[in-house]
Amino acid sequence: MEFSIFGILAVVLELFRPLLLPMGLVVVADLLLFGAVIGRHRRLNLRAGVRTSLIIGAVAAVATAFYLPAWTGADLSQLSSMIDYAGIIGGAIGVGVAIGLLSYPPVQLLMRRPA
Amino acid sequence: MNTKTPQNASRRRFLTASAMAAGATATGLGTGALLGSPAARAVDTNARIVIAGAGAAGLSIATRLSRSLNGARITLIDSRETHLYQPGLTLVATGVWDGDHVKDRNTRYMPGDARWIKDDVVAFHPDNNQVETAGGERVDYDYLVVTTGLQLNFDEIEGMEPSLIGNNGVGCVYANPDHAERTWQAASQYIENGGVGLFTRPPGPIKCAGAPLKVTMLIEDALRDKGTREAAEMHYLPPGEGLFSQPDIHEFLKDYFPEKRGITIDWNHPLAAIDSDRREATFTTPEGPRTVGYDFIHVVPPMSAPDMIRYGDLGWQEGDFRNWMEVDQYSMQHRRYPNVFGAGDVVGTPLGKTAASVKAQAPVVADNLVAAIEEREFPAAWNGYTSCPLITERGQAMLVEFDFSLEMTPSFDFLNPFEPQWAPWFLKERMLHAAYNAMLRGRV
Repeated sequence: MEFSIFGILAVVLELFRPLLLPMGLVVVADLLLFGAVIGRHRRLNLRAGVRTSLIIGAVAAVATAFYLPAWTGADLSQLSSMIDYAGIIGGAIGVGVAIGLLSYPPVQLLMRRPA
Repeated sequence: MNTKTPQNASRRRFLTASAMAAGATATGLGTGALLGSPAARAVDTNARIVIAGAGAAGLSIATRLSRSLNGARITLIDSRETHLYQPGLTLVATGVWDGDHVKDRNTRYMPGDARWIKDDVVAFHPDNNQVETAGGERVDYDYLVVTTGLQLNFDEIEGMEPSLIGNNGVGCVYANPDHAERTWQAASQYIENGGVGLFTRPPGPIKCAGAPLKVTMLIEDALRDKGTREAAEMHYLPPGEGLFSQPDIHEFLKDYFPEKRGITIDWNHPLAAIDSDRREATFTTPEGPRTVGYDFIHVVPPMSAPDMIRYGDLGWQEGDFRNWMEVDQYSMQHRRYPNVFGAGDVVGTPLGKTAASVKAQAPVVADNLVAAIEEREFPAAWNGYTSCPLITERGQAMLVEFDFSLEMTPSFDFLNPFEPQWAPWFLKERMLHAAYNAMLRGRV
């Protein structure tokens, strides 16, 4: 059976449908904070902010990799094929990137350039 | 040059706000396209289309027709307000999900411009282009889509009735969350204590033909997990000499069950009777009746189209698919009534009776019905595609897909259909319900 990108996105939408409103609120809040980051960028320690968000994203990715099988009722010993591991790694990267991006604006706003 | 001027600050704020607004608009437009999209070109018609049954097939087809037709009078007839995600019942019956996980509401997927008659069709009068409801209403149609699903014939097993499920070691995953949860209660006692477990399958087509196998393997897995596997003797009793319609999977299971899982296969053992008080089951074997005592039995009832179809004008009158609705297996059009189509579990075709088959059939029925309205050649054909995520244990499954040719037709070349893996389990446990809902909304 063939799948289109539109079909895949439709399935992903259904997966997150129960969470759309809270996710939307989080994204809107994050965008507003990002706007504040842009507005105040000269007063912020950008390098520290980016580094910290990267670390947060990496930690989230590693945690996801270990938790993902349990989230489905499986355990790590049941990962048996390259596809299983690719799925875990792909999912972990996806979550890590998302968490890293979402955490950046609030983290950055807390990291000001020394006076 | 000092760039920190009031003009530059306000310009930055303006640019920032504009970028955010553009991003939000693009996101909204994209999401809106997914949440609701009209057909590229809707066909103008005032045709009356009646869809009997608001299950997976009925709702999927109704949504597609609503989008493809402008002015059609679409009527769905189904008394049920609760929509059941039936592919999840196996997971409920084996303790992976709870019953609420498979319940939804039909109203969430009902097309806004469709008329919903909360009643049930009790008779079809195709010569008069009418259906009759339990409430006595006669509904006329120009086109009829039959998606009633099938009926479970518990009465064809002597001594069996649904009220036995959950008691005295009797289980049955079919076909609602109450039965499935009670099955888990009965299975849990078996998993705790061990004993003789019988896992049956009736002759003839059933819905989700993999379900009896999945229940068997999941309970065997649970016994091993519990540490009571040594105390359990498990038997799988098919009615003939086949375990699965796809021959490669049959060959795989034929050895896998006894050699890897310690499950004895008792060929040619259709269940004829059950005595739940004595915990005895009687099978009709080529050597004569055989009565076996059990501690747990998974009963799968024989199935057929509802009697009003099975014994009515819309059923096959002869041949291999008697007891089912007569349709052309490719176009899904009734072979004798050209303004009637069928889809889902009710149709008599060589394969099907899975949600995956419905996913493949729904666009075929919708497109061909629109073509019928326009009096042009049918553009679509179902190739018999069906799929079964064959769960081998909690955490692993094999994604089996095939069509009328009985050749494997994997959607994902990188997934070996003969190897139990986590990835197909992930699809089954997390993604397929979302795909099912997307199907109801006509998006896949």
